[in-house]
Amino acid sequence: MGLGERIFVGLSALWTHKLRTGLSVLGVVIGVAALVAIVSMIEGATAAISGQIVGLGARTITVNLYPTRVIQPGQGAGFLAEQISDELRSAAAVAEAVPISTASGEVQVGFNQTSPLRVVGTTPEYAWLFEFWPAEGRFLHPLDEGKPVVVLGAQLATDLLGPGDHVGKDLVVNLQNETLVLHVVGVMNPRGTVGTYDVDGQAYVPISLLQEISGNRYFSTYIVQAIGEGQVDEAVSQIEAILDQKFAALSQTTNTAMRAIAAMPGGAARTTTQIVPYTVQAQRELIQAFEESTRTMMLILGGIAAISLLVGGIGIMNIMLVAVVERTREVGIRMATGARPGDILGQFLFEAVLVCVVGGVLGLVVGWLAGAVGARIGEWPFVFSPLPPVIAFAFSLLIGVVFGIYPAIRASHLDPVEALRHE
Amino acid sequence: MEDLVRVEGVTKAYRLGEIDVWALRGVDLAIHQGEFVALTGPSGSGKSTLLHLMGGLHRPTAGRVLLEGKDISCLSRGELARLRGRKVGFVFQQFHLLPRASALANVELPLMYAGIPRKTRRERALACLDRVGLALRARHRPGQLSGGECQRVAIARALACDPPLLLADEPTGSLDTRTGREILGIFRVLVAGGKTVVVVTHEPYVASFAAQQVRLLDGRLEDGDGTG
Ligand SMILES: Nc1ncnc2c1ncn2[C@@H]1O[C@H](COP(=O)(O)OP(=O)(O)O)[C@@H](O)[C@H]1O
Ligand SMILES: [Mg+2]
Repeated sequence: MGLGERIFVGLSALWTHKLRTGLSVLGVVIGVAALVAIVSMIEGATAAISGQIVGLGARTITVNLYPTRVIQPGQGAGFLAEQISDELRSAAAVAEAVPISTASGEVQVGFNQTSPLRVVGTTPEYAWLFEFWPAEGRFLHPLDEGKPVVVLGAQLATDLLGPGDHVGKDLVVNLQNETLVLHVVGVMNPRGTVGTYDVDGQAYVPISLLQEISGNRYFSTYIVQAIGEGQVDEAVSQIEAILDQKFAALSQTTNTAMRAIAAMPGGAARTTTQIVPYTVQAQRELIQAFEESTRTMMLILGGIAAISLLVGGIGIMNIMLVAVVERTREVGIRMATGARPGDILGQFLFEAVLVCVVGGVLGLVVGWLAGAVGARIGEWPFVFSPLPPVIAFAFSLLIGVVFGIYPAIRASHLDPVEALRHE
Repeated sequence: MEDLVRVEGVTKAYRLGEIDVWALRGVDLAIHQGEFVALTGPSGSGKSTLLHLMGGLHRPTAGRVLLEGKDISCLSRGELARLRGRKVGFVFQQFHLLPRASALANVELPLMYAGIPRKTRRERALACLDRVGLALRARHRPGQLSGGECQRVAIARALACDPPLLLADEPTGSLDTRTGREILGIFRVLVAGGKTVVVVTHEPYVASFAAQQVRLLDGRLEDGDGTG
């Protein structure tokens, strides 16, 4: 019996019981589809998110300050944004440090119409740090300090003012219950997303302007760039030393709070527990943490998919066992006409494998479709990786053999005369 | 004449739980090449068991069965299957055709297991169907054929690999007398063509055509004619 013959005999046996075959194929389809879709979606989401994280560069360190955790509002004199970024910049391993403060406001687009606006207060170094240059006009300048000027992201500029020249126009903006007229001095090149920042859809103003409007001087976020990828750890410890010193100086006035921090496990302010007044996070660590959590997610979801495949396999075994009983007489007839036990074993095993392979191929298609739909909904790229088909094929083959072998052995062990007598 | 089948001191016991049921209690028998043998006896006397032993569907509990001079009593299951495919053709009272396969596919079955290539197989199966007068029904399924026609397909299947020995267990038992006589006619033609045929039967008209009549009673041969 050649392979073609076996396929033909197997297919016609399966075709005879269409519903039953369909149901057992379905079990495999669901398992394989789940596996493929999960792998594809996780790969897509990973590609998207790690693209964003990597976009910030491996030299980047994000510093978050939470001064209000240890001092009363109004006591933040030592935390002026420019002052801290100057201090951070003075560290040996730090090339650049830029404060970032954000505010949400509205911009007037018609007589009675407003549109939401995300305003970023920062310093001129922002452009250097992100290698983010103006297409029109200029970026912020040290002389802009406190002045009502604005630089627009590329997308924002066309959305608000249409195509053409934008520099020189004025925007009426509501920020923190204050209305002010901002003079457009520049429009940036399109850049997409950097990190988690939608840099094309934001407006950039001098950080001093935001400080004046909000009266808030505790600028929470600093983007710091180490002088090289090899100096990131060094930069982190230098930053921590500077901040520790700053908070220690504060502790004279806020004893209670600092005592609480010192009493925490790990002692110093660098632990990542809730009441720590600052966090310093290297981009690289973020990437690692992200990759780790992705791996965990892959394992958990992949495990669930594998279990559903296992259930499909058990379904196949169940159905094959029923089929063996139901086809006992057929086995007897085949044996009486010269079929060896091996032929019978091969026949039943082949049928099980055929069901699994058909289910595997269908599941692959369904899984890919689901992955593509997921990519569209989740807005990440659809990753067409070679891994899912290989996994799906190998897995369904394995399931077919593992769960088909026992029923097939049972069939091949039948006694021909007994089998013939079976009704 | 040469002995095609020799049965020497064969016993066969079936285990039913704790007790042994003795279907054959010591049978000696020789069947010559080209002979038409009728195996008769009351129900439960061991006729089917003896037939199955001669065709390698069973192994004896004791004694030997020789086919073409070769001892087949201790062959493995696989070797017995190969032997059944090439040396023996079975015909059963219930026809035992694959219900979902065409007459042609049923006749092809032993050829397939004998490893005959597809094209040759088709030709030979058609020739066998032609020999039993069913060439025009090759595409029909058993359900679309009458009892007599089904039995002819079964005979064609038994002939497919051109085995020297045909073993028929009450082949006319499910048929009316007229059809039964037609089936008997086919066997007689086959015997005339050199085949050896052993038929288990209750019908006197079948037995009357046999050159040798063997009668079983309670697992033993009734008269000493068998060893001839
Ligand atoms: N598989 C079996 N298990 C137990 N007893 C059996 C089996 N097959 C046959 N027998 C017994 O062996 C005896 C002979 O059976 P069988 O050869 O079928 O007789 P016959 O064909 O002459 O009617 C009977 O008593 C029958 O009940
Ligand atoms: Mg019987």
